[in-house]
Order: sequence, then structure tokens, then C-alpha cells
Amino acid sequence: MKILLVDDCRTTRKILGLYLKASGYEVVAAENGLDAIEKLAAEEVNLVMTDLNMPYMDGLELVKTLRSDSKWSNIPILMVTTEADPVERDKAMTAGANGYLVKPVTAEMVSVNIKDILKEIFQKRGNI
Amino acid sequence: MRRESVKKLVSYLSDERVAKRRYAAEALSNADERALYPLIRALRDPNAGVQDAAMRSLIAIGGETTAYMVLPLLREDSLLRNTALIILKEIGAWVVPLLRPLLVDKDDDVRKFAIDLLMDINHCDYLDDLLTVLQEDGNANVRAAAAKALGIFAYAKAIPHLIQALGDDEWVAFSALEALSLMKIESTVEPIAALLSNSSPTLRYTAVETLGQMGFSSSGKYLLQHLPQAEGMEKTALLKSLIQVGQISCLPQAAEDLLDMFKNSDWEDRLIALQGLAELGQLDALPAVLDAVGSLDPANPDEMDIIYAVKERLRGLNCSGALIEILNNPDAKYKAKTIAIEIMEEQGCQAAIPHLIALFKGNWRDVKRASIQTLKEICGENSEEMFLGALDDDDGHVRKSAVCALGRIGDEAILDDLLKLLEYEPYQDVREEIVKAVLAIDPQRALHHLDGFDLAIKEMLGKFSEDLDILILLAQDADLKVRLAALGSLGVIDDERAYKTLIESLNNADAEIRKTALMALGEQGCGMETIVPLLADSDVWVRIYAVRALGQSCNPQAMEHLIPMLKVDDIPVVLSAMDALEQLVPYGSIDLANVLTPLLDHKVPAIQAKAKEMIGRLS
Amino acid sequence: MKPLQDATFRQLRDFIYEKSGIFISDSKKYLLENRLPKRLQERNLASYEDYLYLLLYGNSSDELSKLFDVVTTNETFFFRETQQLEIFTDHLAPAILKTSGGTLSVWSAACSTGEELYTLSMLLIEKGLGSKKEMLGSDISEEVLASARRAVYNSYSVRNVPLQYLRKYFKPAGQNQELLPIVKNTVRFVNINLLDEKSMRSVTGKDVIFCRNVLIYFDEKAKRKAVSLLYDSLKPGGYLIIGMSESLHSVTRAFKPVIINKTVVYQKV
Repeated sequence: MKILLVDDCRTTRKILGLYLKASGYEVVAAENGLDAIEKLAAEEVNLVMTDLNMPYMDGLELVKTLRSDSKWSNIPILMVTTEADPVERDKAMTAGANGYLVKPVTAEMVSVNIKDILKEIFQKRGNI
Repeated sequence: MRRESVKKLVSYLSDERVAKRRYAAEALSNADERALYPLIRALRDPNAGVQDAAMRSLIAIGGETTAYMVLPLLREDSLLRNTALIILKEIGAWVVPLLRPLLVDKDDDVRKFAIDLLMDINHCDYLDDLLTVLQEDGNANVRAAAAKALGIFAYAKAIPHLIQALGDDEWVAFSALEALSLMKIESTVEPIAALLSNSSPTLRYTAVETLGQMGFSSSGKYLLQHLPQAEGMEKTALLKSLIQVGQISCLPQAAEDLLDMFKNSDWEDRLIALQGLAELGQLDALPAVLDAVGSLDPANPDEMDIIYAVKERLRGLNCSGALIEILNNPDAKYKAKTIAIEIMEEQGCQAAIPHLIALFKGNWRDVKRASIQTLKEICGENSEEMFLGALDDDDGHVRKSAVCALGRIGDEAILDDLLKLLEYEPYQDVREEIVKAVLAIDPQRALHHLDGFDLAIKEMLGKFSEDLDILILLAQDADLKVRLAALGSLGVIDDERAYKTLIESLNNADAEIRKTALMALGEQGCGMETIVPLLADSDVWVRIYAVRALGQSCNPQAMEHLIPMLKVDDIPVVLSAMDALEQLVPYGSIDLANVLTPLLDHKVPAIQAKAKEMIGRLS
Repeated sequence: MKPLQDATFRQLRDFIYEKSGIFISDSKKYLLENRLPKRLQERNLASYEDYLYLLLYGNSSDELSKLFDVVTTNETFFFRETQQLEIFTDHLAPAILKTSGGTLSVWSAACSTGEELYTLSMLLIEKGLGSKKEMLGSDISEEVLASARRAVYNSYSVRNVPLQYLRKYFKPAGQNQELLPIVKNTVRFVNINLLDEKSMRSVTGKDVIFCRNVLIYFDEKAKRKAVSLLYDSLKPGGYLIIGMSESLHSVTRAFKPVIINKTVVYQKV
């Protein structure tokens, strides 16, 4: 399973990368939304885990862009951000994110949330 | 230069045409504060090109007022927040004082943004405030950012608090570890090592990495102690860290794991694994290593760096047996063989000679070239026959190596073969090598043949020869380039005739000749009487070299001729005169600092700057 | 000759950066040490400091051009990074031609010795596209531009040219290959510095700009400036294509990344 990890802070990419690798996921990293789209062009990933605050294209714009493109309208997206404001959370979920975690997160929170999202999507597909 | 007024341009920012709005946003990059608010509004333009231009203009205007007006955007929506961060980072130092109050702002994210900006701008003169944030802030993300920043700014006072932060929330501890790995203080080894038995695999792994990055051998005992309990990623990290702190040699059984690490990682980790294998004297890995290196492209500078790093790691390793095996392995990549051959050259691997000769006779171009190149270095006279045969090879590189080897062997008997090759050799660099070889074996031969050589060869002879007779003859040649080459070489010959030839050339009608003669004389040193008139030469470069020659004369009387040169128009002459005077200071009794002081007001900034620097040195 | 001192290196580096946007990092100092001695020799100068004086204070406009020749790495060949070329001929060009009535304006910025531009031209001719095409190539090095105009190439340059193209569009010239007029006459080469506002602004209305493997030599600031000027040279809806290993993601948000067959091209929206 491959996860695209999007965050402009290298330290955060390191720690979240360790969490993901410990859970057995393969990690592809990107620095912001534009970088994420370029990486998605080249690789198939199973889930996108993204920060909100990033330069040039932030997480919210990334979600909107992905959802409006037929290639990625169904790709699972988990937000992992410092923004605790429920208004921000609403915006992200309305735009189409599947989950929203507020930093700091633990390895377990990440793992559980990813599993839940993937399970939900799997079940949805089963129901079609 | 744009003609429109700021007012007009600002009005274009609301034009319905995108191109017009972008044009205005770009043009306002030269504007004053009146443009700031409209540009900030334009950051929200529906068109991304206009947004981008507005951002770039705000950066271009920069300064304190822009910083002050952009700062509040940190509280706005995502697009504005994140664009503001880019702008503020680029504005740089002006922003730093404005961030200080934000360290205690009500909003968690604003506090974190402030710290992130300080790190990006890489400047902070209130580190105690950051320390307080690390100790007292209620939000873990903010404390983590503070920890990292304190490490980046290497604030020694923070160390005990960073150690304490190792027990904070994992997110904070992670950043504290990063900070400590940057600061590299040995007394932090023990508290970091305490994390090796922490229940969190992330903290254990990161502690292992940090100890490795810090590089203290005292970490070794903790790492070794922990090794039996480690698995998977953690174990690999442990081995890596042991190598980095130089403690791998007590673990010969690690060789297999290191070989695995080498096969499965990126080049950064591979080089570490390789270092470990080399320290363990593990030669079994060599084929795999050279195979991996064989896939790299030397034309790519980054990959060239890796090839170089690999060779360096293998340098101390006595591995001629293993290398010879690779040469004889039909399955080995020929690039791998080429690198093996290069390593043999560096190690002077004599045992390889017969194998190299065999490879030289083979068909792979790069292997052939590498073989003869190495043979040239490590081989002796008994291979003369082979090198002689190689003079006929189709490949220019091979011919070049052969010529070079023959030049070293020095056998007069092959001179004719070399001279014959010179007649029809098409490649410049091989021809140069032949000339050098002939000069090395028997310069008299070259002297006898002189008239028969074409201009290009005579020029090479002038350039490489150290023989006085040849050079004096060539210094009188009809061709300018030949004369210049010979004159240049005469500079290193300590002989009356050489000196005389050069002095005579100082009066030559051609400025290039005067200049070259002066350059050559400068190395020898010569009488002031000859040089001083050249300070008034018509060619600026002759004047520059005359100034230089005076500087090298060790004669304090030269100073009085140099001081007037400080007032001429030619900037390089003035700069050279300043250097020349500085060189003469130990020999004379002039107060140079005083002499240079008027230059502090010179209209040319480079001269001003140099004067300031020199006066500082002289005081 | 004395080795290149750090202070001199920095001044040379700053000069080169100011004039061309190319930034030579500390780790690439060896590039200057390898390539400048030849210039020094040709100019009969004793040291790097003298060369610096020549650049800064001499009447050295012709030396500047030679300096550009030295610092630009001219590693190029025909049919390079074909995925992108295919995107151009199979997707971008047809789409543009549909709405433009046959006109197509292409610019190969930093074209070096011209292989890229001639490749594009050949592809268009072979596919019968762009009867009214405008093919522009530019670079800062006079030497490479002269070479591009001569259109004679060695075997290394043409090693990737498919046989049918080699037979149809080239003729042998000694040991080399020369392009036939049917290709040679479709293109135009000019001297443009990507950071020089005045000359960049003289280029407008482009449908597609290729700027491949050149921005990597610039630092952030120069990259942003060059990309902004390239943006202005495009028609709305036009495309910028940069090298396959390059990206604009930390340079600008002005372009929209468009993905075609796993390749990213940037569109001016």
C-alpha cells in the first residue's frame, strides 16, 4: 500500500513517514499541493495524507483540485493539520476530505484513521 | 521604466481584463507604500497569474512597512495565510522584530507561524523568548517548533531544557532530538541513549539515528547494548549509527546485514554500509558494490560524486584479489570493471598487470582505456613493447596513455616512432602528449627537428620545454603565438640568456609580447629601472603587470613609484597598486594605512571596499 | 597558475549570476576550475584575478559571450525526453491547431545547439501539422547559436533519431549529418537572456514554450523571475514544458499543472 504524504515541514514529513512505515505502508512525499499533483501524475497511491497550511497550493485547494478531477475524485484523503478550528475542519470535509486529524498525532491515531477510511471506502465500493 | 503613475496602475488592478491586471500588479513592484494595500487585495484576484504577480511585487517592495501590513494576513483564510508566509520569508530581517510579540499570541497557529518564519529567515535576536515558549507554551506543536528553532540557532542555554523536552509529548521529543542532533554536544549522549529503552518505536528509532548523526564514539556502548533487542528498521538504523560513530569493527557478524543494507537502500545509506564493510575488511561485498556503482552515470555530477565517495571508502582496503576476480568475471558489468581498474591504479596493484594487459587486448572501449591508463601508472619498462604497439590503436585515449607511458619509460630508441606519430596524429591532446614525451626523453632531438615542425607544434614546444636553447630559438620565431609561449616558459629558467631575452622583449612593439615578458619576469624578479618606464606603457595590461612586478620586487623604493598609480583612472591598475604596496610593507617604512585613507572616499565602490579592508588589516 | 581562490570564485560567481541568472554553487567550483583556464590562455592572462578584472573593467562584451559558452552545459541531442515530445505532437499541437486555424507558435528557450527545436520542427512536418508554424530558438551563447544555425551535427547528437527521420531530413556531411533546408528553413535563432526583461518582453503570443533542463542552474530568485517572464510570453491557455526531473511547485502558483499520460505540463490559465 502506498501513501502520498504531503507537508511543507521536513520534520513533520519525517515523523509521519516513520509512523506510516512502521505500519507497513510505502511512503511517497511531497512538499505542497502542486508537488502532490505532480507526484500523483507519476504514481498510483492508495491514500493521500495532507497538511493544510502549505505554500503555493494549500491542503484545502489540493482537496478541491483532486475532487474535481475524474482521475482522483474518489481517492481517500486524510487531513493532518495543526488547525483545530472547527470552521477549517468543516471546509475540508465539505470539500471532500475523508478524515481530519489535529496535530500532534500519535502513530496509533494515524494507523487507525487510515484503516477506518480505507475500510469505509472498500465497503462503499462493495455496495455499488 | 514604466511611465504610468502609481494611481493609474492601481486603477488597472480592477480592470476586467486579466492581462491588464497582471501588468499592473507587476509594474507596481517599483512603487511605494501606496501600492501595498491594493497589492494585498490583488492576492485574492480570481486569476492565479495576477495573484502571483502581486506576491512578487510585495516581495520586491519589501521593507518594514510591507512586513507590517502583510503580517495580519496570518489570521486570514488559508490562501492569504500561506501566501503571506512566502512574502514574509522573502522580506527577511525586517520581519524579525515584528514576530516577537507573536510568540505569545492567543492563536496557537499564529505562534507557530512566527517560529517557523524565524527559522526560515534564519535570524533571531531574542532566543530567550523562544526558550520560554519551549518551557511554557500550552500547545505541543508550538513547543515542538520552538525546540527545533533553538537547535537551528544552536542556543547552548537551551540544552538542559531540550533534554527535559525528551520527556514531553512524542511530537515535541522528536523535535528536541532533531535540535540536539544539530548541536552535537557530547554530554547529551547519555540522556538521548536513555530513550533506547522507551516504549515508543518512533522515539527509539529517532534516538538511534540522532546518536549516529552526532558521531560520538561514546555512544557505541549504548548502541551495542541495545542491539540484541532491535529488529527490522531499528536494527538497520543501529548498524548505521554504529558505523557513523566508528564502532562497527567489534561486530564482524554484522557483515551480512550490511550487505543487505547495501542492496536495499538509497545511495546515502549505501555509502554508510560500504564504510562499515570496509572497516570490517569484508571483501565479499565488493562485486555487489562495484556492480551498483557500474550503473551510475559519470556524466551526471551528483552520480560522479557518489563514484568518488565509493572509491574513497575502498581506499584503505587491500582488495587486489577481489578486484582481479571482478576483472575476470564475464558477468560483471564493464562499467564495474572500469571502476575496479581505476581503484587498482590508486592502489598500485602490481599483481593485476597481466590481467590488465589481457583486458587491454579485448573489445570493450572503456575497459580498454581504463586498462592502459592504469598500466601506464603501475607498469614498467618491460611493457614498452605493448605501449609501442598501442600507438597504432584507433582510440585516441589509448594512444594518449601509450605516449605518456613511453615518455616516462624514457627509451631514446622509440623517439622516431613518436615523431612519426606526430606527423599524422589528428587529436590535439595526443599531440601535446607526444611533444611532452619527446622533450622528456631527449630535448636535443626536438631542437634538431625544430624547423620541420608546424606552428602548432612549435607553440607546444614553447609551452612545455625547459630547454634554454629551444626556448631562445622559439622566442625569435616569426609567429606571435610561438614567441609568446616561449617567453612564458623562459620565466622559470634562471639563466642570464633567458633574462636578457625577456628584458629585450620589454621594448617590443607588440603589447602582447611586452605583457608576456613582464609576466615572466615578474616571477623571477628584475631591476626596477626596467619596469618603471612600463608604468606609462600604452597598454593597460602592461601597466597592470608592471605594477605587479614592482610589488614582487621586495624593493622599498618601488613604493614611491606605486603611490602615484593610486590616482590613475584604470580601476584594475589602482587595485593592483594597492596589492603591490601591501606586499612591500615589510620592506619599507611607509604608513600604508595613511596612504590608503583618501581612497575611502573613492567614487568606485570596489576601490573603497578594498581600501577599507586593507586598512583594517594593517591596523 | 595559482589555484582559484575562494574570494575570486565568489566574485566570478556573482558576476555570472548577475549577467545570466546561472548560479554556481560552492560544490560546483570545480566547473570553473576545469573550464576557465582555456579562456585565460586564449586571453593570455596569468590568473583568475586578471580574468575577473577583464570581465569587470575591460571592454569585454565579447568576453561575456565566451564566458556564457563556458558556463552553460550544452548536453543535448535530438529526440530527448520523447515522452514530452509526444505530448506535444499528439495532444497539445492538434488541440491548439483546431482553434487557431493552422498557426502554431513554439519557442525553445535555452535551445543550445538547436537539437530540440529542430526535433520539434521535424515532428510537426512528419505529422503534417502546423502549416503556418513559427519556431523560435534562443540562448545566451553566441557560439551555440551559430552552431544551431549551421545545423550540422555529429553522431552523438543524432544517435536517438529514428531511421526514417534520419533518411528524410538529414544529409551526410563528411562524418556528420546536416539538416535539409525543409527543416532548417522553418526555424529562427536569436540571442535572448532569460533574465533580461527587455528582450524577454519582446517575445509574446507563444502557444508552447520548451524550457528544459535550464532552470536547474538558477537559484530560487532567478527561477521565479525567469518563470514569470516566460508566463508573460505565453498566450492565455498556452503551455510551458520544463525538464522531466524539474518542477515549479516551489516557484509559482501562476501555472496550472496539467497531466497527460503521466507527464506534467504547465498551462497558463
